[in-house]
Amino acid sequence: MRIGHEPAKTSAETALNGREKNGHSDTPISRDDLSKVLPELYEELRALASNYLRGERQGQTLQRTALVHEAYLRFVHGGPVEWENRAHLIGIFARLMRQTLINRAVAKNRLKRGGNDRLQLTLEFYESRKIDVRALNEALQELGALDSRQAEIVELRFFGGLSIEEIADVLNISPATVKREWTVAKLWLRHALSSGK
Amino acid sequence: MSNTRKTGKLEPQEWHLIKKIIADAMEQDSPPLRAALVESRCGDDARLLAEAELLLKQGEASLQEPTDSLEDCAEHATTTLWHDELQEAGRRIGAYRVLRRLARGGMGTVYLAARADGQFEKQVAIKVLKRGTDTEEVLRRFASERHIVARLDHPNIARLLDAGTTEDGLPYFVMEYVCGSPVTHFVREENLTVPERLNLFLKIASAVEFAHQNQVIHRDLKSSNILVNVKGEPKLLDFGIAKLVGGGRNSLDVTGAGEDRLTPNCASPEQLNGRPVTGATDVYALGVLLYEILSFEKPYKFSSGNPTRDEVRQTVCKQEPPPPSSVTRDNETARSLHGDLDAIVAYAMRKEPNLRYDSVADFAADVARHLSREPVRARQGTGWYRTRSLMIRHRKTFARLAGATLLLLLAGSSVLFWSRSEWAFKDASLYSTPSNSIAVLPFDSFGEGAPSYFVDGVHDNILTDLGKVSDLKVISRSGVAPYKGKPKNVKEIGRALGVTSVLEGSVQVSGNRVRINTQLIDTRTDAQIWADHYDRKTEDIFEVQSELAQTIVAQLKLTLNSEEKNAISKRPTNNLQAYELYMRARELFNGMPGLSPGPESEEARKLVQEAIQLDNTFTRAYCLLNSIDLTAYRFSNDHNPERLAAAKESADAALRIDPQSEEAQLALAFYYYSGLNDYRRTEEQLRTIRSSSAHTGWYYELSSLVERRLGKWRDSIRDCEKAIELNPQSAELFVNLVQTYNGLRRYEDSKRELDLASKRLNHPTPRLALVQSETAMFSGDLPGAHAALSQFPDVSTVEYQRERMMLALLEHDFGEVRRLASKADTEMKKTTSYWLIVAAVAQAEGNHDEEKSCYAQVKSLAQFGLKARSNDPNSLGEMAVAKAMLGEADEAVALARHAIELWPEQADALVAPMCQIRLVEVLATTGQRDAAFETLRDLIPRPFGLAQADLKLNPMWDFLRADPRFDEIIAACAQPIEIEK
Repeated sequence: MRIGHEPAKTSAETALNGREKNGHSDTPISRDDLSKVLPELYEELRALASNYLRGERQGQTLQRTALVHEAYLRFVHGGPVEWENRAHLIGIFARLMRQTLINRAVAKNRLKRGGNDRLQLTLEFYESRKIDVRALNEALQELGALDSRQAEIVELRFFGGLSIEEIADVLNISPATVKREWTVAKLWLRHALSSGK
Repeated sequence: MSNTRKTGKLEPQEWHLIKKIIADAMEQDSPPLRAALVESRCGDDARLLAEAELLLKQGEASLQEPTDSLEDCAEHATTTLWHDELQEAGRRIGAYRVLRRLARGGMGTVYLAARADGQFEKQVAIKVLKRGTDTEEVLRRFASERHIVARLDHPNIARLLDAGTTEDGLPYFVMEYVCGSPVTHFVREENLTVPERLNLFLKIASAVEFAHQNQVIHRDLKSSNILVNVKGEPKLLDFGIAKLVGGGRNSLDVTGAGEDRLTPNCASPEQLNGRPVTGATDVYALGVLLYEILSFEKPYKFSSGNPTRDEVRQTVCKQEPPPPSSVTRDNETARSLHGDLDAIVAYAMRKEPNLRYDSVADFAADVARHLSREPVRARQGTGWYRTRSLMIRHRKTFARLAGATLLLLLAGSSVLFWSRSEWAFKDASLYSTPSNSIAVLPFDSFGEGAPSYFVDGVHDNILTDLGKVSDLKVISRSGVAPYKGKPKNVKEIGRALGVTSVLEGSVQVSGNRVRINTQLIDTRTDAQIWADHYDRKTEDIFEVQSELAQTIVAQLKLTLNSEEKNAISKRPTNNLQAYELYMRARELFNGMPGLSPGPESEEARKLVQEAIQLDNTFTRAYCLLNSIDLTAYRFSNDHNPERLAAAKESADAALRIDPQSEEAQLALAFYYYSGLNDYRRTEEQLRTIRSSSAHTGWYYELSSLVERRLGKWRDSIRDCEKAIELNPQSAELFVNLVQTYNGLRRYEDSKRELDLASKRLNHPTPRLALVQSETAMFSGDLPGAHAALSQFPDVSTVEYQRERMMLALLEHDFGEVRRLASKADTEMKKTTSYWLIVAAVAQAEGNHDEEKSCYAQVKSLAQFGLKARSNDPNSLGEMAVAKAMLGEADEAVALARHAIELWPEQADALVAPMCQIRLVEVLATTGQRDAAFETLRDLIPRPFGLAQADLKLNPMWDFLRADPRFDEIIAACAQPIEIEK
């Protein structure tokens, strides 16, 4: 159960949600850099996104946001990009989550790591469900080439941990649409994962 | 990161197509249906089909697996990523161990917890107040109010169990744990209809009312405090807590430190102004809640998500929120909110506490009044509505008195409209008082030059205009149609139609002048009340008509309010040529020999489209187009979805142009009923219509039909009777009514109605004779059925052919069945009934090969039916029976059960029992007799289920007949079905 999530939508935000389509360029990420910065960055951004998901906004949060945001964007895109709304922020978080997990998965092959942080738990859960996060990532890229919005939905659901309702809210589309997109995307991913092996 | 896997090189456009197909397919209910959908939608595109089938294969596989790995991972992410319970889990609070965090809000944090000592398995929710709260004060108040809070034992209120202080000195409350979603989310997710939302709201209100009776005011009612569980049961949280926390002060703590405790959209003006909090505060908050669950919007908009207290006060205390109907994004909802519900919400949310509803109970009662279509208190004293509702109440009393007197004096006479049945009588119609009623007889054409559609148009417009007068009963168009071109005995007509006045008229056209002669006659005295003639230019025709209508109203000593006056003076179109096309189209459409679309319907469609091209704001033309398309969709074999879409478009267009048009509102309702078979929505749409009008007859007819589908037997009978009152000679309406009575095994009622119908109608009609035969068969009177059918020996529609074969079958006259079968035409042979009857005979005669081949036919016909409509209950049931007979036992049972699942009683009360009967047949054929009897027993008390005569006589039941249990079933079906109110 998740409660306390009732963001008051302003008209400006709605407009932005409609306009902004955050294209997923595949900027290569240096693993060494990542391993240094990511954990902290990840926790920060997670907390931010979490607050945003609950509709909490405070001046203090905004300042932290700017810092984390800038750090992240410099890191991922190599240049300044304005983040504009909740959808964008949570999208960025999901993106970061995705890349962090892949990074971890790769690292894990080289040396077994301990720890029981969120990322580690998540990876272990994938493992228990026989999901190879790298194969999934590739399949998702391929889907993104066909249908960027659908890939975005998968990213938010799978890596962002948002519910159907929340995705609908964040992307400003109907839950029914999100559900359809997600259902078909899952089948696509299943197919890709089963034939890719 | 490189792409290592390459499958088909799909283009985005192709993917979009496949995506839609697969999404649609996955919404189907069974593998064959899914496969069929994919196949039919991919058409000849082999490449597309191959790709889609790959995905479908995955879809089927995923449905077979117990868990969905991808879904699991996503779910795992939702719990892992967004909760901080990693640190918090395991922590102890008092005697409890925290399992995880549930929420963090203004007052503090809520945890899910269990007894640390494992003493009770039950989980609880613990709310730990945040730092800065006056712990001692809170606990002192809890101690003193404990007994009050403990009294709040109500199924919709979460219990407050305990309180204490954490190790780090924060006060906490232990509450019953409720798993559910906030009510606004629930309503949205479950896509509840407006009446369903209102019923949920009533439950919430009754819980608040209960607390008020126990002297507890909630003070902080809002969606996040009202959770709804999977069963749809609401639970109110935090009762009594606001007082314990905000306590000593009268208002919720909105000053200083507790600022974030205030929910801007829910706080009442008195709370914001620091004035006393009373039960009226909860009334206000419930008003806000109702606003939100009806419109999905909040009543007030603030400049930011975290407005200052001043801004909140300024806004909440000064601004009137827009009516819910004006902010909802859904047009259909907007229409159903407009009027009563807007008024109810506004009443509950009045700024001044003592101007709101006196109590939550009063508030709830008004919502209930709206649901039962009674006038609501919130709208009384506001203009016309008050007058009208008083009048309606008055009429009701009068109708009862008049009915009772008539009953005493004239018992047995055919004048008795009201004595149909003792229990339907109690609800004598709102519209039944004939104090002012009129039949506008079809106009005659004088001389040459006036085409019939023009004359009919004049008549129709006057009839429609008069229909807009709420205080006047107007016989519907089809009710007066039989008098067209006939010599008129006004007294007799008055009696037959139950009206006090009759309007006659004639129309003459020469050149560009039109001359109309009319006279208004009192049917009781046969005296002329008024007569006049109008000689005008043809283009002034609409003015003449509304002038005429207004004169009649004046002559009948009725007064029009401004709304009615406006409605009457409104022109249907400003373009005479468009009007002419429209009238021609209507004449063609109404004159169609059958319902199936033929050249007339095509021609009518073309004409009305031309009319719309000339005037694209011509509401009534869109309504006509809607009827044409819906009829074509429903009664054609291919059920062309384009027609369905077109029907929706024209209904929407009509409503866009004139949202108040009742004809347009009915068009949309008819679309839901006939096009979508969505009876709940039909009902909801019908509820939005209030005024009486020339379409009222149709309104009641449609209401009656949809209520029957929804199992509201009593309402259905009442509304059918109302429709009959407005159209006393309609065979079709009598047929509907008799069918309902037959479904309820109330054959005596059926016979009474049939007698009444034959007295009213001067000539029997084939449809009526058919239902007469049906009633006779149901009551075991086979000679009576013969007599009924013999009235139309030459009629050989499919229905008649089937009825005759059925009758011979019940008589066990197999030779006659075969004779009729050999005479059957090809249309008849395209029906499953034909093959099922022949199969029954073949079985009785021991001809198993023939029996088998009959069922093979049934199977292929059912297959065809399922292709057109994959959830068609008839085809599903027939397919199941055919499979059972052909030895595919498991599939047959599965299919029959599938049909039952698809068509539960709530979805369609007529279809559900039929699906059950199919299951009985399947079970009996496949040797599962016990299960068959069990299902049969369930069916006994259900309307439209079993009929005693059918059980006794029909050889189709022979496979169960030897069993003594069957006799019990037969005996149990002797009684009519009682219908509770």
